Amino acid sequence: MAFTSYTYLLFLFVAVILCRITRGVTREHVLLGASLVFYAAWDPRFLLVLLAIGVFTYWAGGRIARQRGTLSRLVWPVVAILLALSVFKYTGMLAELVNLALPSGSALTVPSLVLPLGISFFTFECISYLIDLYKGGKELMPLRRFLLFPAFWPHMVAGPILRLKEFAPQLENPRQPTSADMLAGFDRLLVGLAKKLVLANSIAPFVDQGFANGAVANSALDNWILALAFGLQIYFDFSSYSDIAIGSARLVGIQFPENFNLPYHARSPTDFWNRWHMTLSRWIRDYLFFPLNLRAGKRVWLRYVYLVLVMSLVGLWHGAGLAFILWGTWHGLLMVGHRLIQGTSQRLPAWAGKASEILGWAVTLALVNAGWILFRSPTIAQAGRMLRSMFTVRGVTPAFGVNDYLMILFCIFAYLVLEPLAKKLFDRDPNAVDYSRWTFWLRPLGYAGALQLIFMFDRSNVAFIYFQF
Amino acid sequence: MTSTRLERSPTPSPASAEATRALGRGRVAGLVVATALVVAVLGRVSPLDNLRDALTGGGATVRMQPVRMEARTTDVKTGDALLETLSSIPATPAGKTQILVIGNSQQYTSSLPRGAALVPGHEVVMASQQLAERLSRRSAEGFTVYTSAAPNQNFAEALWQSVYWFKLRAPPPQVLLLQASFDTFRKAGVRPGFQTLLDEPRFVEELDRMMSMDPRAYHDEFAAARRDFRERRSEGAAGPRQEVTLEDRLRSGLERLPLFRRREEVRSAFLGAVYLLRVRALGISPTTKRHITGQPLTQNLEALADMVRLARGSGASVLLYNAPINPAVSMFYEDEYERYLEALRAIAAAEGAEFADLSSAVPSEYWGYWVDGPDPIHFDERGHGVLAERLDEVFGPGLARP
Repeated sequence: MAFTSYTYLLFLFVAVILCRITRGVTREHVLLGASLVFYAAWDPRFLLVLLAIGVFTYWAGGRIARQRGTLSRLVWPVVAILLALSVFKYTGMLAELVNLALPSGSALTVPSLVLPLGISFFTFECISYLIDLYKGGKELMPLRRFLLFPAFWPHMVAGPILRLKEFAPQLENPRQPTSADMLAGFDRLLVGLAKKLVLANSIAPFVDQGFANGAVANSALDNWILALAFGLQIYFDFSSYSDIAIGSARLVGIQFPENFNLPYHARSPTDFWNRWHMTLSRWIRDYLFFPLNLRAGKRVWLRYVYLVLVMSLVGLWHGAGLAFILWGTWHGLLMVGHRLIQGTSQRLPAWAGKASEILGWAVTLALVNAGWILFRSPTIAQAGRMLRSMFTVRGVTPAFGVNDYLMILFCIFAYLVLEPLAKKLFDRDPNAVDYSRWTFWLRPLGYAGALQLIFMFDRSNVAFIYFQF
Repeated sequence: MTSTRLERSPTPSPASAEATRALGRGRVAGLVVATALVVAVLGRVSPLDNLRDALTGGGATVRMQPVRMEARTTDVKTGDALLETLSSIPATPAGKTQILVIGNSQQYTSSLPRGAALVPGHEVVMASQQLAERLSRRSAEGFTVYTSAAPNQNFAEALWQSVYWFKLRAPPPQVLLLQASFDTFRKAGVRPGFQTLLDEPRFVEELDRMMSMDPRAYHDEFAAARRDFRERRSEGAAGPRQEVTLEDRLRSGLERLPLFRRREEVRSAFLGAVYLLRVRALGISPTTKRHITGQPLTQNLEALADMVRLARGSGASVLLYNAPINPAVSMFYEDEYERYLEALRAIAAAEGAEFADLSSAVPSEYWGYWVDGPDPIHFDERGHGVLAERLDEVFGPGLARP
């Protein structure tokens, strides 16, 4: 059930109504039932995987809570969950790697397992639950309530990745959404749909064409434009998913954390990761990077090694392939590079500091977007060819249609002007907004316009990019 | 990495409570009713049409004289079902030579020069039809022309439909008159209307056979078209069958809503308005110089070569011509244009096709006018006559011997 389908909108409508007319345990049952229906609609087999991992985590969590401080009670369940993730996600990649080492004729058959949707997301949530419990967090009970943590439908497939401490209180002390909440949720949902259908999907054909055929005939200029175009496509695609998820959750009275904060405004690679897929960043920071940093102690070089290693794992989390690992490593190296020069820029005079900020933004934008080439190219060889052409400036003739370039310009405009406006709107507490102003009555025009746009560009079958992770 | 702060307000402050009261149920209900009213009105009015009229001076800057359409004429619009169209084309009468004409909208459009008035009830005879009449007058056997042109038809699309013409149609055309317009070499993709040929299993078999041979730059376009078609056919393909049915039902239910029912029309008007705004506000019109290089050029040239090979393989004669260009405009870079012409000559020579460069065949006064200047692609009835004459001069002797 794609978020952009009319089926989902009907599903959401029914779920919201049911949530409004129910209370307490019944409401929890409604939320869990709706979540399981939503997930089973993709493929009922996925449900078994989700329930198995969920129930196992609940059971393991209980054991940890009963005997806190016993590390083995944490390690084995975490290993088991990671193993489950690896079986579904990385078996094919591992078999291919083994085949590289084997003599020809004795190759392993590469298994083709169906990747359960959102497994990368809900397994990370289950792991964070166990670690939080180990560190003294409160158990989420009973089972139906716990299962909502990984399975709550708005975030199950592609995040935001929730933390127990922000989700559990909302389940334990539920509140009915106010009219203002409903309005804010609806606004967010509409904006998300429009972003996905009008912006992300419209730029996709140009990106697909540009990356097709090995991109052998692309000039350096076109490769840079393609990198930027994919950067915009994936941003609008993924952030629109998050908008729909946040909006949907709000409609049933649950508040999600933000997942994006204008990432291409970043002035350094570290800043980029503070703004891009923020809930993954904090997960990685809290459960991987900080503990490793503590182990490194004062050995700065080891911290850098860990940073690159952690970012490589972030790459691997995104996809089972060398290109994703390289993409993560690229970001790790950029962050290390930034840390190395950070001290110098802090000693600059004020005017030079401002200039270095602008330079930092431009360089970050260019390097982050260059990294998208690794992420999007179907092969490493193609990525290498495109990056070589970009950094050796091989050709500057634009080869694609003027409308493609104009579409990119429009997306840049949308990112620079419309996104900050939307962010300003979403950052407000809806319960503190004065709805008595005359501007309230401009909403019908906005809603009708957004609906018209959604109808005009609707293609519910264009999947979100992050669904594959 | 900094943490993400979650701001939650489980108990609204007094100010919030005040605001919430301001947004009472009555207000929300009013909002729903007002939105429904605006949706209803928007479903019945066409503000974009007014914008288009304003941008085109009420249509005064673009005038098209209708052309005579026959059963053997296929003007494939973006949304058309090509399989249905091609399947309904009548068989060639026995003893007549079948000429297939493939090209862009120049084939079937009559664009009037600035200031020229439309002639009520008059239908222009296209160059291809005029050519057939000329040839039939000289030859006892007679000719039947099938014009399978489409707006901005690129060569991946031309090859796509040629698979149908030369592999599935019996008997296949004996002559392929192929128009090459450099402008279309920057286009890519296979439009949804063309994708409907995938409903024909024999077409799919032929396509599979073709794509299993040497890799080609346009193969990704074909693969994307197949994927696109599959996805269109099963909205939400990842879900089980019941869900598809529900989605279909919801969509057909929404058809009752004018705002939804008119979405294609509104989308087309919207994109038209965006295009006209581009021309008016940015000054980027069809006559603006543009580079034609890189991937789109490679894809089109490879598809063109394969198309000529396909037709030649079925025993057809291939007559390739470089389309007339409006002498009043200069829209290509000279070096790129020269390389393109060389490529056309090379393809024709390698595949045993005849080639003619008719780029300067139509004088400037016969060309139409388009929004902000000369129409670079389309001419009027006189232009069609001149082109038919030139085609007859160049290719006629080989086709119709008295």
